[in-house]
Amino acid sequence: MKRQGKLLVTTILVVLVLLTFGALGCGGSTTTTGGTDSTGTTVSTDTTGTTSSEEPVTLFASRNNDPRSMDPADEITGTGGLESQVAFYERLINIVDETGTMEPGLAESWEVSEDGLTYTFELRKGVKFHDGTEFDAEAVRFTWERIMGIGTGAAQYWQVVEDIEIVDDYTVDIKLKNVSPTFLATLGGQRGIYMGPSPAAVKENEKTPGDWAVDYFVDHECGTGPYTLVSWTHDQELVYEKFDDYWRGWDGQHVDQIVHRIVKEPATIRLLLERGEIDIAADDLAISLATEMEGQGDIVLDVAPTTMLTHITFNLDNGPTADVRVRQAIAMLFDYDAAIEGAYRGYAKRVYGPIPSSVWPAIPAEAQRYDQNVEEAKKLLAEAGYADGFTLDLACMDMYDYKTIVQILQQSLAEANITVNAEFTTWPVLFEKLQQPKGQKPFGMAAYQMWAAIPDPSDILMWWHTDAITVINPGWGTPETDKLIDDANATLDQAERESLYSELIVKMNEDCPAINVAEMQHIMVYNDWVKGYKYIPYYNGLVNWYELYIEGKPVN
Amino acid sequence: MAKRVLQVIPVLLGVTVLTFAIAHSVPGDPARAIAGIYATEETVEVIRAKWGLDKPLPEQYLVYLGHLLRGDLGASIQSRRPVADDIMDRLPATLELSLFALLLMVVVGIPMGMIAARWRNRLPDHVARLFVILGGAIPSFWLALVAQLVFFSWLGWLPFGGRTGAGIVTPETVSGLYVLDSILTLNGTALVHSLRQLLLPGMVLALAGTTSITRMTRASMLEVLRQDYIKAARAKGVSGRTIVLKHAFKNAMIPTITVLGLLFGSMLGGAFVVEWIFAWPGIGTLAANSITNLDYTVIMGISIVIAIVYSIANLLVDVSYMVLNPKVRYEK
Repeated sequence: MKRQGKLLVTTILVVLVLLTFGALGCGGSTTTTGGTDSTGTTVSTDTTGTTSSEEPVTLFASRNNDPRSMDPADEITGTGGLESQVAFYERLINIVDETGTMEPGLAESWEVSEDGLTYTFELRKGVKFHDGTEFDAEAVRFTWERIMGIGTGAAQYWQVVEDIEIVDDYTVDIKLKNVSPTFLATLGGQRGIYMGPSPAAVKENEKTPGDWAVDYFVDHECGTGPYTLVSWTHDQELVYEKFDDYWRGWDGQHVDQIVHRIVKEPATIRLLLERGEIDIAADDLAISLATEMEGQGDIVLDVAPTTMLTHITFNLDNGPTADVRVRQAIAMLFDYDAAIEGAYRGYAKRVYGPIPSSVWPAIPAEAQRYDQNVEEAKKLLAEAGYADGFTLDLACMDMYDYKTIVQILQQSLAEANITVNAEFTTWPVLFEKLQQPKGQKPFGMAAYQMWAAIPDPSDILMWWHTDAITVINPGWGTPETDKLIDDANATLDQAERESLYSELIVKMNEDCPAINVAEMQHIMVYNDWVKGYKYIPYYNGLVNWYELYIEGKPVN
Repeated sequence: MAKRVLQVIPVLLGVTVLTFAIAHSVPGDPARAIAGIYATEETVEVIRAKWGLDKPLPEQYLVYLGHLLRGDLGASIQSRRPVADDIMDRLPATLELSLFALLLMVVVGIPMGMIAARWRNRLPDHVARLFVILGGAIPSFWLALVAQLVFFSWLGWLPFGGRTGAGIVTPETVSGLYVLDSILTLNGTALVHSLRQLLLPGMVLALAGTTSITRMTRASMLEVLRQDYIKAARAKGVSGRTIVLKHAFKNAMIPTITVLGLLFGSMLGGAFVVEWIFAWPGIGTLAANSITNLDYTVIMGISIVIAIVYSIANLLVDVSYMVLNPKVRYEK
């Protein structure tokens, strides 16, 4: 019996030893003060948050995924890295509220020429890049040259620019190819328009002359923004530290260091928030999860309107949905209220057109509106010859609350014997389907979101131009509607643009190329000791880290 | 023996062809995925040309194979870094987790199986079999979440997950396996921290495999104990313990070691759920991201690396047969 007994005892001992190690690490909090992480820098987790304190204040944020790149010229999507870049890089113009009010950023002032083709910017003086070099007119022009030279992500936002002329050290003339009513809004927008990296840093880190140091800036940065990137451990965390020479200065309340933990599982983020190990969930969480967390521990929700709407587009060329009556019928079968309750837990509103109410113009009174009206819908279907119903394929993203919306859609349409087969895929796959040419779209319906990243309706309505049929337009549009869109983009006259877009909306509603499900609200989840958070719909998904501070956090 | 090693090459070649075909049969355009939906067609074309995605498939495959034979796994379309770098960043984490889980499986599963066999149909056996059924029925995703809830949120005994980061002390890099490196560099704090981070994901990952090992050990043990040579030994008056440990054990281990080899292979790529929930930066997460983003070079690279590691593991299993049963020899 001896050897077997020994084996048993050894097993038990090993397990006990492992558990002891585990217990050694306990004591409530698992963050050690003054521990040394692998980069050798000391991470202090003091949390008193008073500005006169000697010890640095650290904010802990959770992120849903590992960013792809820190280069604002190449990576322009939120989840790809934009959320990180905004702490390091800045814009010429900033939008500061939901109505789209623009304020000076790196540009102090600007004016437009009579013919609308030249924008003159007076740049802010005394701004430094993180490498100590000066931000000036040269840097603006260089940023543009680099963006166009690299030719990927950000380049599309500068297509309208003919040239950038350096008038003097702090003045640039941006010359456009044609009039663009959205140019200023774009410069203050979310994507593609950040100033940097500094010319010196680019030249220093080129591998071959003229390669714009693209490889280097994937995981390095050199902007003018409030924070610098100290470390990035893939799939684990990013650490930012404040840039002492930041031009806005550090008076007032701010955080000195930000640690982003990459936590993919939403349930885990919840645990971390509840235990106070994470201060703020920087990336969006599913509404169902966010609403559950309200009031748990010290968690608060910040709710704000967005410029986003969810819609379900139709196949306009093949199948039953090619008939406008069928489309209108489906729009009248859908249970919008159930969708708002079920999918958005009430954090959404009805939207009666292709743009949300936060974007001008308001949906005209004469535009057709669709509410649930099952009887009317059935009549239309019978008229179109589909009293017995039919089957439709729905292409959809496997994300968040689309599943609930799809369920509601299926139930609603079942009333008229319409069966919906839903295919949930990732975005690239869905996008591939949307991109097919007119007449070859491989879906009966497709569900996704539309969103205005600048305070201008063109950001959404331009996608209904026939040019965008091989992008996300389901195949809608005529030369007449295209002209409305083109004309609205060729004039700076606000009243004229409003009337053109209103006409477009009326035509769209009549033809019903999509069901407009709802316009969403944004929920931000954080612990109540985080202050200073403000949601700007045009910067959806981006956090203004400089404005955040910590007050009243309980010390462990 | 040499022949056995050479057999790995056609296997790897087959892996590349299969993976290439499957990866490229998924609908979607990686160039568009990078450019984003608002990009113009020209922008997408630029990206596509840059990565050679506009060439015909067979040509793309041959180009890839050419690089591969020179040891170049290509660059990731997403991160622009060499694929080898992306993988080597994360492979040690996966190896460490898998080996730790393997250790738990061996240390818990084999004794449990042997005890169950020894006291067949008595209490220890019933306990073991209950464990096997429960362990096999519980989905690892659910178990991971519950374990995190209990040990991290309620009890605060263990961290929620993660391998490095604020508050976690890691040793100097020697092998990339933190526990090993902590011991080699005599860093006590790092050793405690690494074990602490490993514990929860390791235990959850080990569970499913432990039940297999227990069952396998018990079954093969019982099978061996029925053999004539065991009866003969008993008749000769050899003690029970000697029978089990000296005569039966080695032979009973052969099927078990086979299963261990298979389990190790499946853990390399399949630890995804555990990596996801416990924020463990292994290649499972990299694989999932690259598949979602259609990052072909990374998908291929990971498949090849896993195939190589798996082939080595199986080679070791085959070698162990020779050790356990001297009668086993391979063709020269």
